[in-house]
Amino acid sequence: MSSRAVSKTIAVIIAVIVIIAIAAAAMVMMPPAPSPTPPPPPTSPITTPTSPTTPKTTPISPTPTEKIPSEIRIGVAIQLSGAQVVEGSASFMGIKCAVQWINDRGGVNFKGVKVPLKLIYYDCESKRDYAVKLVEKLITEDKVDIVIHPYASTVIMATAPITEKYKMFSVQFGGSSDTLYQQGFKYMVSTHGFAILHYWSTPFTMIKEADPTAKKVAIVFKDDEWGRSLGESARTKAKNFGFEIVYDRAYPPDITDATPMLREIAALNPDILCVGSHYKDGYLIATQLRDLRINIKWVIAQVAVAKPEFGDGLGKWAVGFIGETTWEPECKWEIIAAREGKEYYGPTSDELVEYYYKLGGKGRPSAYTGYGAIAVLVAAKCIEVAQSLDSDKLIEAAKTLDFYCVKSRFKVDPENPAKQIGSINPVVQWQRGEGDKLVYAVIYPFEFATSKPIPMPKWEEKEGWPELKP
Amino acid sequence: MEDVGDAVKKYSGLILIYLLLILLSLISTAYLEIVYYVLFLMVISQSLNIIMGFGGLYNFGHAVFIGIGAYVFALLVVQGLNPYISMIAGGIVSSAVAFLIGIVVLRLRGPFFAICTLSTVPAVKYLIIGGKIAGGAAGITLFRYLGEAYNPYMLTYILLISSVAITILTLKVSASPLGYSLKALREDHDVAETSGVDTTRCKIIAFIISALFPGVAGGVLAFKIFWVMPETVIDLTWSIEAILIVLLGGSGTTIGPIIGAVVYEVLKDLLMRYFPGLQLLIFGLLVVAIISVAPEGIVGLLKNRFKRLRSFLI
Amino acid sequence: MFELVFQVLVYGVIIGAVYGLATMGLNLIWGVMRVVNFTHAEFLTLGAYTAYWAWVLIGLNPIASIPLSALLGFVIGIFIFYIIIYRLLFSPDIHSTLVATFALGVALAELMKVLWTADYRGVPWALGVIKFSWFSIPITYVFTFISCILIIIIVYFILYRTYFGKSIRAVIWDSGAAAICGVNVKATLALGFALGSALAFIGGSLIVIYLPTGINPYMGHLYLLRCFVIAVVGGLGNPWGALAGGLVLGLLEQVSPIVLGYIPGVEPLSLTPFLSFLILIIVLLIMPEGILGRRR
Repeated sequence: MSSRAVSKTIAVIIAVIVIIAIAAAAMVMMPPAPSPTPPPPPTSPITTPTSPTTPKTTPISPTPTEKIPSEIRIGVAIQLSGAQVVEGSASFMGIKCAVQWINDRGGVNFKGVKVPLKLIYYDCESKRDYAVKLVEKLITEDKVDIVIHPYASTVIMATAPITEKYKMFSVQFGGSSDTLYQQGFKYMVSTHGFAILHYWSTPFTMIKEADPTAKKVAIVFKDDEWGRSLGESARTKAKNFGFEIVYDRAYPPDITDATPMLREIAALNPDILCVGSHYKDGYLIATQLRDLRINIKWVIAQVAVAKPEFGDGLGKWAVGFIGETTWEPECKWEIIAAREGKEYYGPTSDELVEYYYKLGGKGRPSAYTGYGAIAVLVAAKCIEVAQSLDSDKLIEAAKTLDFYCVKSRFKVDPENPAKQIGSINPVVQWQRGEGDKLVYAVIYPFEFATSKPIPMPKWEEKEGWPELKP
Repeated sequence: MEDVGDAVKKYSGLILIYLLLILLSLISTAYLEIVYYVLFLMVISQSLNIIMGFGGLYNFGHAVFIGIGAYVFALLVVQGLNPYISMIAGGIVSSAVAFLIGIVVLRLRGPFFAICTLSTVPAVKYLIIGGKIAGGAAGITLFRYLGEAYNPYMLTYILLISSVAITILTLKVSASPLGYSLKALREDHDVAETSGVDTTRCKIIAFIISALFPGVAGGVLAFKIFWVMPETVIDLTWSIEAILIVLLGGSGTTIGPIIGAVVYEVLKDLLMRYFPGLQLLIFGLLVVAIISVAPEGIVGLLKNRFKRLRSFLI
Repeated sequence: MFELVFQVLVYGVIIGAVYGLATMGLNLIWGVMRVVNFTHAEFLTLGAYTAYWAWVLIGLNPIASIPLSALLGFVIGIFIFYIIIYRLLFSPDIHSTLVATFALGVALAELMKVLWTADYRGVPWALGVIKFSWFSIPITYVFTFISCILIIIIVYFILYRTYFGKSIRAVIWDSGAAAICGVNVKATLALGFALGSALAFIGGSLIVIYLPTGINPYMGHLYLLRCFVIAVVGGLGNPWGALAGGLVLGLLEQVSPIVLGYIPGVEPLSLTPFLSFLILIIVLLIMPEGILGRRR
């Protein structure tokens, strides 16, 4: 090589080494990201014990008491636009109602003072990566005390590692996929029941009671976190109840045409169809069942059924669909709480509905209102029991709780606080009421059920009906 | 002939940018995030530049390499292998797959190549979901294996080192016979063939090189999000972004994708803060404008307007 | 067995016709000006939204809104052609139009999001079903199929019985020779693009019938990839190739889940798209001109 080329190469190598050296130095010197717990306040003066037998050794300062904040900051990244805007904004309404309810009573009891809650929120536009960025922003820039995760298991699976990374106490209300409590998350509590633990059993029980001859079950589910958990759950419960599974398939999350699948199912003539769906796909399957005129006696479809839009879109064709829901305005859990001698905390369903209209809600509040409200209520209760904003104390407090509220019971597994074990799902069914009304009936729990379950009328029969209005 | 002074001047633009990025990353975690995204895009765009900038082949399937790197990383980490070695393994496997894809697909030209590579992305995605490979649509969760070891600085600096490496590689290729052959076949494939260029060999080598670092970046991505599944790691968006960045910065230049990545991410961030909800709209229109008005990218624009900067813009 | 086969054939043909119609625009634009029109996705979406708003505001059902979609598509197509496409047709880089149409598509999708939000909308148009002894077809599907046939006949009429159509076919065959023969190539290109765009809009309106709730600004991309498969398999330069490809894909989507269902351990409904892309790749490699394309 010529001398010039040598110099050139040397210059390049030197530059590269400099860069790498700086990078390595930065890596070594940089401390890990600080945890968001509030800085310890100055220690109170040492109190020396009066007993003369106590040796005067190194002074011991008592546990520093936390300052009382002027407000407790709750950070929420939620879907206020995009694919999950319906679920996200409805849940957010519930969150706002609960915060308002608590603040109208002064706030949370914190060391003898009532501290109001402050909601800091961002719209994650139903984009998972964006939600992750926003949660990180809430923790690092906005310095919130507690995080409430967005709706939907797939999103929470992405945002939970972030809150765990910063050891921040968080509440998730919107994820019911069992993988959420199988990851080893330590600082997250779940408020809602899970697919494998809680779903399908009640409808199956009711069907067995109403129709002892029902034997064959077909299972279809969406191929995502939520759907797969539902599928797994349906499979296990069906076996436990002694049903025969004749069909068991997943469908892609962006499915636009379920007819090949439904045709196969029709040929097998099942008594029960279990659809593990979200809203769009559940609705699609319902319409295609109608279009293909496939008659199945009992059809249980998750999520899609438990929404007023289902009845609006399908009208009389919706009659007979059964679904499990999370909260309905008819729920009166205070009755059950009183009967079991447990505490009831927070607003009743009627009060929540009042706040819903006060804050500008229109029409019938959807199930997601209660869904979101319980997240705030649980956070507040944990703060009141722990009397601290420290994540470790909050999670310990959560493990001890067992109470009822507007969205049924809250009790987590003490070994695994991300696993909710107390929650109870009400069950609903669309029915034909008197005066040709389309009725959204609560059929379980029996304490506040409005009617009994009925098998799905045949499509041909429904053809002859007049249009039903809610 | 150049002396050391010229050489330093030539590379100072690059060095300046890298130093700036390092400094920014040290300011706060918020800036670290931005630097991470910039570097991620930089690595994949610079890699794409080898096949697209030099070779003129618009590889819309570039995102597949990231996905492969991510999956290999996840599969190895679950077996207990050190995450950093897994990342390197991801890059190597990605290059191997590039070889296999390349021998089949590189015979196509122009838009046919574009459509074919474009369809490899959903093809691989649905193959994994439908064939239930490596967990199918559920993917592989990594929090249990990696949660404790997470260090954002480490990940960002791995991307930084990758970027520096690919920069050096780009410079070497640019001045080498391989580089000249690629540029020749980009200008006119048939003339290059008749002039004696072994186009097939050149294209395949370029393709393999272009897959190495996206594979590593895939591993980094998997580490960051703790969960590898088809929807998150096999995303056509990266192919598109990489292509846009190469075009934006200056296709075929070394510093082009670097400048392009910085400008792109900064622009995206600014738009997100001040015009939330409108950013992609403005973006799309900007790209159309740039394609019409400045096909040479930012580097081309700067070279034409500011002649004195020419020596910095390699 | 016979029932199943018959059902599958009928559904496959019906939806294949809609797919084919939706893709004809893509084939036509490629044939006329060698442009891969990525904005096709957003044209489909706009067609779907046209049907939706026609339903909501005027009460028109999707089939009745076809003339409206066609007109809108035509006008918007001319607009886009003169503002953007024409400039780039002669640029040295063959990929400029590709990237430009893609970016334009993104911008249009976001514009729709801003105007109409990303909420999912639907046109719940149902007329009941025709019931045979073993299966039933919704009446809306039947009307859709009939409309497809009518539109195809109209397109045939345009292409083979008008001067405009003749000039399009001439430009597809050889634009240089066409120019020598006195064809106004620029006007032909513009009208060709506009016709392709109109067809895409119509396709979007018809797809609405199959999607009870799926209308949103990003829906086009779901269909765009399918359109590429159809266009390439059928033959890129030939509008009828789109129909052939559409039928192939329509039947494939109905048949393959059943066949794949026999393989254990896979998800047939998710593997079907993989099959369609595999076919696309294979066709590109072996027979890039497609089924009805010109043999070189």
